Amino acid sequence: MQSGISRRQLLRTGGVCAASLPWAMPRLLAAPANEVLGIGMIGIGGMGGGHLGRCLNHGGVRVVAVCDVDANRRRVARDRVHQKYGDDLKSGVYRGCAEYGDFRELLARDDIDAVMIATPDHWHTLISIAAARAGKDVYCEKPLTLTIGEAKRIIEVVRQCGCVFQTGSQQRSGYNGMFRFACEMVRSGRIGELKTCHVTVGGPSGDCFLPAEPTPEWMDWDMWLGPAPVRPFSGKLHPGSWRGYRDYSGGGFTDWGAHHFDICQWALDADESGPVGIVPPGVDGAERLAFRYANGVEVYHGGYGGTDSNGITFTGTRGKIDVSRSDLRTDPAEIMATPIRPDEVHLYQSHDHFGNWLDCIRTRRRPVCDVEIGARSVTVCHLGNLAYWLNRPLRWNPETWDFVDDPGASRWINRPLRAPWTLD
Amino acid sequence: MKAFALLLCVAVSGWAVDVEPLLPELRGSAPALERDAAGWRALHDAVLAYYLPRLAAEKIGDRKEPATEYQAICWRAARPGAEIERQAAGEAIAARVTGDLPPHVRLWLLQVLQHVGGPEAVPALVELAGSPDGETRAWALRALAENPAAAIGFARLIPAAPAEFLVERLAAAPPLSALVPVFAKLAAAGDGAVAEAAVRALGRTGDPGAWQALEELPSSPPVVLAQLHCAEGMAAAGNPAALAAYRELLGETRPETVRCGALRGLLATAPGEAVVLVDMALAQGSPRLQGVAVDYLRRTADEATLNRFGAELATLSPAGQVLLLDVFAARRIVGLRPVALAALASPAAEVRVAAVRALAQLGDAASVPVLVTLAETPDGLGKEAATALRQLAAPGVDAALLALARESAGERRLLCVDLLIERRVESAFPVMLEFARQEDDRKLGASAWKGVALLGEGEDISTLIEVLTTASSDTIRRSAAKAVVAVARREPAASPRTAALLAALPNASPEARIELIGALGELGGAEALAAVREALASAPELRAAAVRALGTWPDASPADLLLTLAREETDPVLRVLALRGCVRALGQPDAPPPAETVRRLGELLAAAGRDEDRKVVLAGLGQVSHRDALDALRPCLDQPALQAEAVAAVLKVALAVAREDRALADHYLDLVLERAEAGPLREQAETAKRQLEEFDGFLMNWLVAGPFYKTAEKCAVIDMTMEPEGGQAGAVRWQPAPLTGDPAADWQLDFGKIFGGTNRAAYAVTWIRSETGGKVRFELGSDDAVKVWLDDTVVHRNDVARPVRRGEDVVEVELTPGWHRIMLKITQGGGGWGACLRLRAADGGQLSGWRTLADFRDLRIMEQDLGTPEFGESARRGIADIAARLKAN
Repeated sequence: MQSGISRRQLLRTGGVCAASLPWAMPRLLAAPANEVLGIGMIGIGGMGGGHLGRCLNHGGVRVVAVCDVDANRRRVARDRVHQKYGDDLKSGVYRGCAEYGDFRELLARDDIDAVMIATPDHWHTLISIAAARAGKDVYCEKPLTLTIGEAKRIIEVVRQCGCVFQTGSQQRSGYNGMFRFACEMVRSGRIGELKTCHVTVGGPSGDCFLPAEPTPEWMDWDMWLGPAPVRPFSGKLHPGSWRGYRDYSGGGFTDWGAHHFDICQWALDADESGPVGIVPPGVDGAERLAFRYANGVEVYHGGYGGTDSNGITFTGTRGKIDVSRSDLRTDPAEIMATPIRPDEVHLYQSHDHFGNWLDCIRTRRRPVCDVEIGARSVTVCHLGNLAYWLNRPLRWNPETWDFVDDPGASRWINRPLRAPWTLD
Repeated sequence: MKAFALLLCVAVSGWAVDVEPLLPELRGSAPALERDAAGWRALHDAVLAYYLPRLAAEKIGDRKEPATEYQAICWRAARPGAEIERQAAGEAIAARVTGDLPPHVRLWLLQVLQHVGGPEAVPALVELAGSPDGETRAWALRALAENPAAAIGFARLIPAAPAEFLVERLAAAPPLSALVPVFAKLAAAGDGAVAEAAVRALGRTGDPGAWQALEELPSSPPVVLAQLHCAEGMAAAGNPAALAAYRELLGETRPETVRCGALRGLLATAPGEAVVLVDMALAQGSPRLQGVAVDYLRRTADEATLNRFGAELATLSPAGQVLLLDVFAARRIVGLRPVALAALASPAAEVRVAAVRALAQLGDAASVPVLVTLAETPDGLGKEAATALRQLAAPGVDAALLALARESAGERRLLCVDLLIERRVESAFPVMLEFARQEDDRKLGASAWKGVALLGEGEDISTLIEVLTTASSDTIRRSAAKAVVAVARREPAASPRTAALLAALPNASPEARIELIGALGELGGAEALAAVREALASAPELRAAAVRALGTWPDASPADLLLTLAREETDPVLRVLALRGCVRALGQPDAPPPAETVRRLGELLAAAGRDEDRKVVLAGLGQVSHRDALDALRPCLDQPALQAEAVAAVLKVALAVAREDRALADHYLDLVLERAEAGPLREQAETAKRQLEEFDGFLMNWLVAGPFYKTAEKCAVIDMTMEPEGGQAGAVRWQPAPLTGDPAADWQLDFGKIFGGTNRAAYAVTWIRSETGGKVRFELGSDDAVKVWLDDTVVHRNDVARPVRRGEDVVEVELTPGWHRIMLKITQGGGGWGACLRLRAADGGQLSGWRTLADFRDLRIMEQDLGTPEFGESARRGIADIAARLKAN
């Protein structure tokens, strides 16, 4: 064995002490297959409520705390948990579901192994990083980040911490494997050489011009804003929708784009990469915003030809595939007549996004929509938004995570956070 | 504020006139003029002055447009190659932003500066970072943090910061080595929050001096985290001090997540130590640390390192072996195949399973016998081995399986055959056929015939027919016929499907002809029908086969032939078969129009000799939504042996016919109620009666088309002209709207179920006939906006978002006697999507003297009447086209 340093030398440096086993605190050890995982829910609105239901119906996990800045929501969630665990609560086996308005208090509990994050987008990265640092495994809703810089940072920290991280882009697991099958067909060359993808999702977010309203007593508005710039409360942001506004979200483009561009990245074998150029509509006669990949494939925003309100059309030299949550069609139809053969491309098989995350927590494998996959997919969406906002062609280097020869665009990679929040 | 007001007046009266023609240039929609720096500066001063009054608008909504416009101009100025413009924009803002401005205007300008400002903006930003107003300070720091010259600003801001501003300034500060002494001092001496912010700032610098400063601080979670951050920075800069830092952080007293980070950092910066580090993590680490090590192997490690671990696999713990085998599989390093094969002998079950999974990726043709042997065992390992055999992609695997299938016997051969089928090995067809013909092993035969049917191609049909015609047993003949049908069905054109069968028919033995005729019945087609018709004149066995074949025909084409047979056939068994086949054929989508279908079923009813046969015909009548079906069913209501079936059929038809003729439906329901005593039949009739009452007047039969999407038109979606209302109406693909499946909900059209989605529109069209004409009320509900055409005239429009509620909109229209076309357009924003329309008399009461269509096959009848005065020009529109399309369907 050729190595720059021997095990004995390494031990001598203080890095590892052979007599000091075990290395980790028992609580931080991955759970054995039969151990029930303690789960904390952060953000329990629409998606969070759904995740809470999944947890409550899963025997392998136990919800021990819920967190939301909306006191009404967290109370409802806590009651739901208590109702579900009613017998164990009465008998004392279950000690009750704690309520928090500040996620840091939830993360400080050592009986929580993993957290599910379903807050507005501008909180995703910050809470995910804090959770990973606290030794928790993480399931975070898509779109994973608010900025490109956050996408890069979340990968770094999650990897550093050895965190098992699932991005909530569940199209990789659900819908009877339709999306996986579509990607396998593309990557196996069933439509010949892939030329274009048309992805129909919503458009970019914009600035917020909502008038100020009095903050309700049940709302911790400063905590809702968190790292975002200060602005007065508006019921149109909460409990309304914050998704149209740049300070909190990338709009419809990141909302559905985090699903469908994610599938596109999967089909293009670009899970650890991305486009190299983005051209907004109207430039050089372009009808639609176009992403250019290094292999020559062009991915367009819009133009999906299927029957659903959104979806993806892959067009190759020998056929095309339309895929959405409700439909999978090929032209010619025979393309999808046979299952993927052994000598064709087989992609990561997961039939249950949540279950896949739990399995990976036990095995320490990477989940089907690992942090880098989610971060790279949302970066595609951020790049699209930036091309719309700046209204000029952009050149992107997915390896260095920077724009090429465009310092003005590079200034959009990060957005400073409001003190005291940092992505350290 | 006076000064600002004066400024605004000057701006509006003095500069606005000059700026507006230049805006296209600034937005990039017109060519730029040549200007020097002073010229650009003057222009941007003017532009800002032009926008300031509108940015200062009192109503927040009025600020949106100017703010967005001005911001876009500035963002464009920051494009590559236009530094002179960017600087001019930055200078213009910097000159104003510290002045007398309404607070929201200042904040907006700071927001613009965040993406545009350069060195020219730093003094202004530094000044505003000291503002007593927290929001101004926050935006100024935001803008400064993104400024390329931020270092200059923070070098001034941090050392001189008042205590209350320190945390926000430290949080925003860029990672400047020059500030390390300041950060270090604050970290050592500041209060809790300031010290923590300074510690974090030290970590971000990635500076060896910062590492030193952090080492000197008492250890705490923020300090250790900052150390890791600092080590990362040093490693990224290629500073060798990172190695020692990482080793330090790998110590056992460190939090596990920090140790994971240190291990990952070490693996990245010191690949030469990877073997030792991974070895140690696998041997002694927690699962989380092991995960980091394995992740390194899976993603980064070179082949030599992996081979090294392959050689030592057996010395690791079972958990470590499992993780490594998983890595070997993921990396597909085929050189490690022997390692996986050796691991099959492990005493630990989980290691054996992992070895089999690894072989699924690493295995080759030589692995096939080993895996087949394992797959023969009934335990979990056997299942894994079978899965691996399905996945093995190496060259020669199919051939190896085929050879093994040939050589082996019994269960092993059966396993190989099943695997060959699952792997879709087309070259296995001859072997499959060979096994299929062996009758001594029924299990193998069944699997092999399945394979023959699945793997065969068009060119194999003649081989299969040869097997069929030369077979000595009925079983083989029958299986071969089934296989022929399965293979032929995959042929896209009808004629090639049956050509070989037809060619073989004349010379085949009687037994083979029976099977050939049966196969023709499954495949259909005009030539096949002629051949089967000819076979009716043959010997009794062939005649029986022909009647059976007609009974399985895939469309309605033999319906009349079967009807004749059902009436005239002397053999009672064949007569019954013909009757059943005829009912089946008349239920096919291409059956004759409803009235014609009813007539044929009536004849069948008369020809049926037994009650069980009559019941079959009654069930067939129940499927026809036409008034004549009710007349045909009526006599059976009084026949005790048939009453139950007749009542069930009447209820079904009456509910459908009620959409066309309510009085007739009521009459028949009353007839049922008169006859049905207490019990399920009466309950069903009462329920149907209630539904008719409740849904009286609702139009429930529609043709629908959609979804249609927003166009570039700048108007509400409900007013956008889409294909069904434009010149392309002929190209619209109309389809009958399916009923909801819930009789209680059939009063409404559910576009959500039919088309789904958001941000779109759909259309529905139907026809009504008024006996006498006169005023009529349309009572409408819609989700969301609705537009209604009566013939070619828009009679109602309501651009609204709401759920479907009955009668929410009421429209009075005038009908002339005869047929009229009603078209609805319904838009969908989100949530539910549907509509309902009820016809009522002008006073709101029940409307009489009208009918609609119960079945869109009626369109073909309407089509015949197009030339009559019953149809006005506009009511006629589209009928011929729609009828043609429905026929084609």
